[in-house]
Parts: sequence; C-alpha cells; structure tokens
Amino acid sequence: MSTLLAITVFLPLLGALILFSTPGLDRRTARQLALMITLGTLALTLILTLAFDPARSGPQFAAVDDPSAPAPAPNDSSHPAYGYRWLDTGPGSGIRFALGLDGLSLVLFALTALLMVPSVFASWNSIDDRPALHYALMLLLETGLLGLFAALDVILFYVFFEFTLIPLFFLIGLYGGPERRRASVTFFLYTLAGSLLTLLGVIALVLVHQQFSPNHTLTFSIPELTAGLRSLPWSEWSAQATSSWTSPQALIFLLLFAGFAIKVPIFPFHTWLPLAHVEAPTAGSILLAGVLLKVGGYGFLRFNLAMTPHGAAFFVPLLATLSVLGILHGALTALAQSDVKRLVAYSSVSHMGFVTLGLFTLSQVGLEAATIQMINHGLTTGALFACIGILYERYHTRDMAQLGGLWSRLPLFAFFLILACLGSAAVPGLNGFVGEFPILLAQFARDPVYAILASLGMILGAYYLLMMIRRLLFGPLREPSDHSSPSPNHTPALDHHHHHHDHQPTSSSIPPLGWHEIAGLVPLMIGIVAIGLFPQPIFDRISPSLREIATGFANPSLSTPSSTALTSPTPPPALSRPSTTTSQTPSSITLAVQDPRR
Amino acid sequence: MPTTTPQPLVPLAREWLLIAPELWLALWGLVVLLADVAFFRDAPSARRARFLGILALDGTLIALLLALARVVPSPLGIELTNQDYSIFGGTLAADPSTAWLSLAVLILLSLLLVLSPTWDFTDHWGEFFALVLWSTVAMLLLIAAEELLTLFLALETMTLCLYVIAALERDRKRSSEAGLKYFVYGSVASAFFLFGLSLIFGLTGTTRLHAVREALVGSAGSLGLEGNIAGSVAVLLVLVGLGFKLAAVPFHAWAPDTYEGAPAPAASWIATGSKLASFVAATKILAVALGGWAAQTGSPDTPGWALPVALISAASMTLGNLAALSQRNFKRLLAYSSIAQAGYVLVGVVAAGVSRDPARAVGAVLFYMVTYSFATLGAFAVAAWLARDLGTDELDDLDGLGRRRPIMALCLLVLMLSLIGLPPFAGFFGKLALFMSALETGESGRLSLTWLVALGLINSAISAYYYVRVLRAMYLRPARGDVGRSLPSGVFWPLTVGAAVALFFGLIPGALFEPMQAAAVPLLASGEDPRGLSPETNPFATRPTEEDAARARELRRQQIEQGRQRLQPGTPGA
Repeated sequence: MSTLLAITVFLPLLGALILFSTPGLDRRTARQLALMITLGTLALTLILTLAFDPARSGPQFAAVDDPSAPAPAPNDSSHPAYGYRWLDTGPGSGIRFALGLDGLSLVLFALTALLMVPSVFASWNSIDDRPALHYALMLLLETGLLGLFAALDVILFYVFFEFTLIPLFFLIGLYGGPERRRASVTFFLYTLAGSLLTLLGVIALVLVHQQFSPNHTLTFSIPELTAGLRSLPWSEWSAQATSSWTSPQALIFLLLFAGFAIKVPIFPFHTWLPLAHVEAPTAGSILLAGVLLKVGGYGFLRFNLAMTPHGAAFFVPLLATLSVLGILHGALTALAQSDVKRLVAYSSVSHMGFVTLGLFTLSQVGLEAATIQMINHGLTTGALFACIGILYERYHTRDMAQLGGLWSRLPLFAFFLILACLGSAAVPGLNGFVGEFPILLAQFARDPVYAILASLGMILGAYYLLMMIRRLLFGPLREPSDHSSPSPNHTPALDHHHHHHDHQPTSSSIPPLGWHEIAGLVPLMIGIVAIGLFPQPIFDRISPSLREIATGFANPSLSTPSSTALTSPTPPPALSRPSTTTSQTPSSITLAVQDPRR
Repeated sequence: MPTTTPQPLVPLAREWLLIAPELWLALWGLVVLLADVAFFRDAPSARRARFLGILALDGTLIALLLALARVVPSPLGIELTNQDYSIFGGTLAADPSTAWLSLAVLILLSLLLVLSPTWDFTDHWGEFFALVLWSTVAMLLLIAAEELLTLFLALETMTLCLYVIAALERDRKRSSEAGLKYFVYGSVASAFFLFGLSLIFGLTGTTRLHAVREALVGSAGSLGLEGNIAGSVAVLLVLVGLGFKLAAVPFHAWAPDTYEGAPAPAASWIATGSKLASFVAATKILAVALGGWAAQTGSPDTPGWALPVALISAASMTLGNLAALSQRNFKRLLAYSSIAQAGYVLVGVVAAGVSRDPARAVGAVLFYMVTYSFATLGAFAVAAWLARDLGTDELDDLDGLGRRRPIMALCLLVLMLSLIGLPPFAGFFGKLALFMSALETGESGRLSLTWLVALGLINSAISAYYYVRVLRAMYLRPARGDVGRSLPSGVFWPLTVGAAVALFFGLIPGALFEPMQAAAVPLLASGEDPRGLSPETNPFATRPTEEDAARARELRRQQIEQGRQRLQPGTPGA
C-alpha cells in the first residue's frame, strides 16, 4: 500500500510533466488529460480511504526501511524509521522521504483529491490562453498538497509546503483578474515570510529534541518528534524562564505559528487573502480556499498543538480573542461587499475563525469539530467559488448591483447556490452545523463570552449569505446590458456562447449550466448533505489521531504550570478530560452536550 | 621510518603529478597567448574570440580529465583517498578537499569559457583567456594552500588577473572604472591582509596553518581573544583582507560598481570562482589556523573572531538584501544578491569556528558555495545575453521572457528560486544545512547564534522580493521590444547546467553533500593529527622535526602568555 500512496501523490506530477512538455496542446486535449489524471488520483485516494483502518492510531501506508521489522502493533507508541533515507545528517535516521496517512491527514488528503475535480471543471471553458500550462500548474499544486498532507518528515513537509507556492504564484499571476500581478506577488511574499519563521521553529524543535532526548537522536520524523517532545521537562524550563513569554515553548510556538497563521489566516494576518482570492482564476480560488487554508489548520494541529502544547495553552486567551475578532471582522466586512467573490473571500476569514476557535479550545471535541469544519469549509466555499465562476463566465461581472432574479434564468444554478449557502450558514441537517455547533459548545465550556460573540458571527454569516441569495436570485430579472463584451483577461466560452445562441435567439444568449458545470458541483453538494446527515465515518477516522493530540493537554503537568496559571484566567485543559478517558470513539456532539462545565 | 604508507616510485615526480591540472592550465594559458599572437593577430575580433575560446576550452577539458584522475582511479595513479596528505613540503594539500573542489572550479571554468566568446566585448581575446586560465590556476592553488604565504600568493595572483579582465571591455568607460575600483580597493585590502598574516607569524613562529592552530589551541581548549591585543589586531587585519575578497559588508563598496561595469563573463568569474576559492581560504584561515581564537570553547559570544564575523555576516545579508530591493540593473542586482549570499555563507564559517561538529559546518559552506556558484554563473549568462543582444542589462529587459524564450526563462526561474532558498532546489538544502550547523553550536545546550539564523531567515524573505521581481518581469509582464537573435549555445549551456545543478541537488542533495562532507574533514584535519607535523602521513616532506616544532610552539606560547599577563587590567601600562 505504501507504493500506492506514493503513486497517488506523484500521479499528478506525472500529468503536470506531460502537460509542461507539450505547451502547444489545444484546450480540449489538455482539459481531458487533466480530468483523467485528477479522476485517476481521486480513484486511488478512494482505494486508500477504503483500505484505511480507522481503529489504528499512527500513520498507515507508510513504507518501513527495514522490511524485516515487524509491523507496528495497533497501539504501539514507538515509531520505526519510516520511508527512505533522503539526506544523511550524521548519526540518527536523517532526513527521510517518508509518506504515510493517519486519520487527520487522510481526510484532508481526500478533500484535496476531491476538490481537484470541480477545479478542473471550473476551468473547462474559461481558460483559452495556454491551457496546457494552466492544467500543468494545477496538477503540480495537487502533488504539492497531497505530499504535504502525507509527509511524515518535517523537512519533507516543509518542502511540499513551500513548493505549493510556486504553482499558485503562476496560477494567480498568469490567469488571474486585472490585479493579478500585485495579488500573486503579495501572496507569494507574505506566505514565504511566515513560512520561513516556521522553518526556524521546526529546526528549533528538532534540535531541542536532539539535545534533551535520552538518546540524543537527531530525528526529523513527525511521529517520533511528537512523542519525544512530549516527554521533555517543559514545565521545569517554563518555571526557569523570566516570564511566560520567554519560556521555550512559547517562543517556539510563536515561530511555528507565524507561517500557519498567515496560511489560515488568523485575524490580523488575513490581508493577503481577499486580494488573492478575488484575483485568482476560479480553479485557483477553489483550491486556495478549499485546501490551501486548511494547510494552516493542519499545521496548527500537527506542529503547534501536538508538539508545543504548553505554548498553545499559554496563548489560548490571545488566540481565541483573535479568532473571534476574525469571525466578526470577516462577517462584517462580507456584509459590506457588493462583489460576490469578495463577499465569499471575507466569509472565508470568518469561517476559518471558527476553525481556529475550535482548535484553541484545546479539547478533543473542539479539535474534532474544527477538523470537520475545515472539510465543510472546503466543500461549501469550493462550491461557492465554482458558482461564482459560472456566474462570471456568463455575465463578466460579479457585482450584485447589476444582477438579480437569476432564479428564472438559471434554476439549477440557483439550487446549487442556495444549498452551498445554507451549508455554509450552518443550517441543521447540512454540513456547516456539524462543525460550527460543537465548536461553539466546546468554546462555551471554556469561556462563554467567546462563544456568545462567535455565535453572533454565525448569525451575521446567515445574514450576508441569505442577502446574497436574495439579491442574486430573487426579485425581478436584472442582467447587465453589455454582458457579452469580452473582458480583457478572460475570454470565456466563446464557442459555448454561439452554440446556444442558435437555440434561444429571442430571450438571451445566457446558456443553462453545461454538463461539466453540473458534474463539478454535484460531488460537492453530495458532500454537503452527506456530512450534514451522517458525519460519523469522518469522526471515526479523525478521532484517534486527534485524541493523541488532545492527550497533550490532559497532561497533569500542564494544568498546574506556575507561569501559565498567572496569566491565563481560565485553566484551559479541563474540558478534554472526559473525552480522553473514554476508550471508545463516541459521537463528539453528545459528549460535548454532556459536559457543560460552566 | 614507518612503512605504513605506500612508497611511490619517484616521490618528487609524484608530487608534480598531483598538481598536474594546475601545471597544465598554467602552460595552456601561455599556449593560448602565443596562438593569439602567432595566428589570429589580424583576424576579426569575433573570430578570434571563437577560436581562442575553443582552444582555451580544449585545454580546460584536459585539465578537467587530469583533475578527474584525482577523484577516480586512473592509470596515473594519483587518486586522492588519503584523508590527510600534503605535498611540497607541506605547502599544498593533496586530499579529497582539493580533489573535489578543483573539479567544481574547473567545471565552472568550462562553462565560463563557453559563455565568454558569445559576446564580442574586447579586442584582447588572447589576454582575456590567458588571464582567466591563470586566475583559475591561482584559485586551485588557493584551495590547496596549506600555508599562509602560499595562500597569500595564490590569492594575489588570482585577484591580479581579475583586476585586468574586469577592465577589458572596449568602448565602455564603466569597465575601466570597474577594474580601477576593484584594483584600488583590492590592493589596500591586500596590504592589510598581509600585515595581519605577518602578525600571526610573529605570534606563532610558523606559517603552516595547522602549526598555527597547534600554537594557538591550548590544552584546555580554545581561549578566545580575551586580553590578547596583538591577536585581536591580527584578526581584524585578516578580516579586512578576507572581507574584501568575499565582498562582505563593510568591505563591499567595490562590488556593485565592478559587477555592473565589468563585462558579464569577467563579473561572473569574480562572483563565482573567485568567491568559491576565497571562501575556502577564509574557512582555512579562520576555522583551521585561527581556530583557537574563535571564542572560548563552548561559548560563542566571548571575545574572539566568531563575534565580528557574525556581525559582518549579519550586516552583509541585511545591507545586501535591502540595497538589492531598489536595483534596476540586472547585474547590479546580482552584485547585491551575491553580497547577501556571502552573508549567509559566513553564518556557516562562524559555525565552523564554534561548533562542536565543525566538519558539518564546513561541509555546508562548501555545498552552498558550489550550488551558489553554478546558479550565479547561469544568471550572469543571461546578463551577458542581454548585453549582447539588447546592449543593456536592465531588469526591464527581461519583460516577457517567459513567452519569448520559454526554456531560458524556465532555467532562470529555477536559479532565482534556488537563490531564494525555496525547495525543492539546492539553495534550500544549502541554507538548511548552514543554519542547522549554526544552531547546533554550544555545549551548554543553549541554541546560540539563534539571532543570526533568525536574521538569515528574515533576510531570505526580503530577498524573495527582488528575486520575484525577476520572475514577475519574465512571466507577468507583456513582452516588449525586439525578440533578439537566436539563443547562442554559449548562453544555453551555463544556464541549463546551472538550473540542472540547482534542481538535481535539490532533489538528491546527498549526491553533493557526501563529497563536500568528505572534503570538509581533511580540510579541517583534527588538532591531534596536524598535517604538517606527522611524518606518517607524508613521507616526502622536508620539514622541521617534531622536536623543533614543539620547541617553537612552547616558546610562542610563553610569549603569548607573557603578553597576556602584561595586558591584564590590573597592571595598566606595564
């Protein structure tokens, strides 16, 4: 199975290389090839998902260098040297090329493979200029993202993490809107600046582990580091530090935080996001919002929360505040937008605020809900950006003032948009509810004030999304008069246009949804409804990995650190106790309801 | 005499055979010069350039084969597997470090010789190629130098040749200005450097690097420079000289003007080959000879050269990057970029002085310098192409290159990303290795030099801004102006080889790390087995006996101790 995982990760790269080497390929062939590759990757991912054993903790499908070594027992905490030696770094296992999936990475891995399909369909007719290059960049990005979620080595993770910047820079810069140059350069520099600090944090973790672990092993393996760093006497070191801000974990936490906070993005670091989302082509927006933002959340879980739990506990009041500010700021700014793409971009800031709010409850319920919310956001925002792409292809505008009453013109589009909006607004029965509600519950148990403020953001979210539906879909039909004038950067669907012109000569040249647009949206819609109705399979898969992370906060040494108690008014870790002592994997929602501490 | 080492048939001949590439190249310089005078005197300049370029390249390829024989077994029998081996009375090293590094320099030289004739910038082609070859001979000797005087002579020969080729472009005053500035700064810096070396000789009584080290490292480990005024002066003077050769702030003022004014092939040789050799020399002087003065063992922020070098490194990367932000000229941009890159590499040099595992730090320095040199040579090839076809080398001239010349733009893209230090390119692993070796220092368990590494990473982010400007010009701006003539192979090869090196060693970094690591070990050679003093490792050398050396060491140590006591704060003016 380890070979299958490697093939899944590198199949898109193969497709990208084929497309790169045939730059003159026409649109039809290029998009079909890209679709075949993405569907193939999705099929392989499906096989991996079915083969995944949810009962086991620790990475699966990982190659082990020494074949004679026995396979790890289901609850074995020691980790063998996964993968293959990549770079020798003296004694120890060195930097390794190690891929593997645990429950947490599996769901995000699958989300990536799934969202690639609507991304290809969204570019179906809208990319005329150098289509082969466009799809090659998309596939390159897919390999980067899949590899990032599957990496078991910190350096390998970082390599994939940075590598995603390059294709995205070109996707935005070459195929984006009128402000694409500024958007791509801003995005590139902003993200790079943060991730370099993350690299420093990662190196610091590796070296601290080497210095103080009993065997002085220099390891870059994520599972080994996570386990090894847990056993170090962090609370003693914190007690020696002059202030909590300079305790070692707080410093390393901040370094790691820098890169991931910009990716997510957490409130004051979000300024790159609206620009990049609005200027990116539709496929870029779907992947940016759907997967790239999740990289930040994933990084928080894998590094900040799993490897520096004391630092996380210290910063919880600050981070929860920033999350709530992000929720409210994003929602209020979204309210003021008349450009729908901009509105959805700001709604991303708001919804990702919920994700970080869930993460920084430091309880298992919160972590699980945040992970589900990441997937939800990927599906709903991906669907919303795909819908906006459909709209823009037809009207060359995204201004709500110029559009209205589209229900009568595009009924199927209206259905998809409404479903995605309701999912995003956390209507019970759809996916958003499954994520946001437990987040609020977990947060309520920690500190009710934050939960109340955050639920205000939820109400605002429902308001601006419904307002968007009302202005776009209801009322008298309103269309821009000059919608057939080609825009300077997009020359979308010219053949499509003429084709349908013959059928509807009297009414308008606006075509109904094509098969590729429906095919791109239907899987997302199925996901939105399925997660809303029956989220348990996902919870089953993520909870073993997240329980491992949450035990870091149940550590008794953490609940009474002399320095942390001074500055944080609410001792955070109490909530996670019940969930960690329970041996089964019960539904998190019921657990949270049973535990209203305050 | 112990018989542990194999006895060669004719020892002297073997020593000469071991420096065959250097000798051959020196001779070939004469051949090129004579061929120019004898056959091409009346030929048009472009034709002379082509023929002489091919002639010089032929000689270099033969030298490359000879150098290859020092790495892999061959009928010549000069494969250098001995970890620690010196020749000519201990003045030159003949070990894996010289073998691998000379190979890298000769490959760079071949690319340079392919590049140079593509652009007809001078009438003095014979002189140009001869001087390039001779400067390379000096670089190879500099890499091998095991003794301060040899090192100084090699360094001066190298820069003397480079002064001239920087000024060789006809019709442009900027070129003469470049050569003159380089010369004036360089000669002053050399004077300082020589003065510093003479002080070191005065304090230790020897010019052999390892003997100097022996004299300075006490039995209780390094003591640093605390209270040692003469030593501090010597270190400062040496740093002035080295700082100039490395174009490190604050000794960098010549670099932007020289790089911009000199013809691109000359500038590229100053920025790559010369810099690579100078860094090896700097590592040898600082980490090997003056290892005892780096800092007190285990605490890198005590008085010693580690602290000033760290400051120079910090200043270089910060000032280099900030100044590069506003450049519009491509070559000037590369000049500031190379100043900043020197700053990163100096982090590794500091680490080599204070780390517990100096070989790893030196290995990182060598890895970084080799990959940097290939990347920079490729970038200068683009500058040469711009100057040849468009007459200017402004950044705006790269506009729309992605459409006009996709392959070329792709290669330049790889080089720029590698210079930023972005994975999966070689620059990333170079930086990773440098910074990890710097963080590994210190026995107290404290991560010292963290500030320097943090500054290095912040600087990488700053540098991304101007490297991305190159990408933006190539890919995000519409093409303008003339498409230019077809891409000459002389530009194609340095560019693609540079990009291939950046990509290959980014995907498989071990392939270069292992040789560089193997080179770093003998380059440092442990204190217990000093290269110049052990007859076991070199049966041919004529050198002072063990007793002589020990006596001299003891004498010097007493003198240093007396000097230190005189300078104790309690007895001022004694």
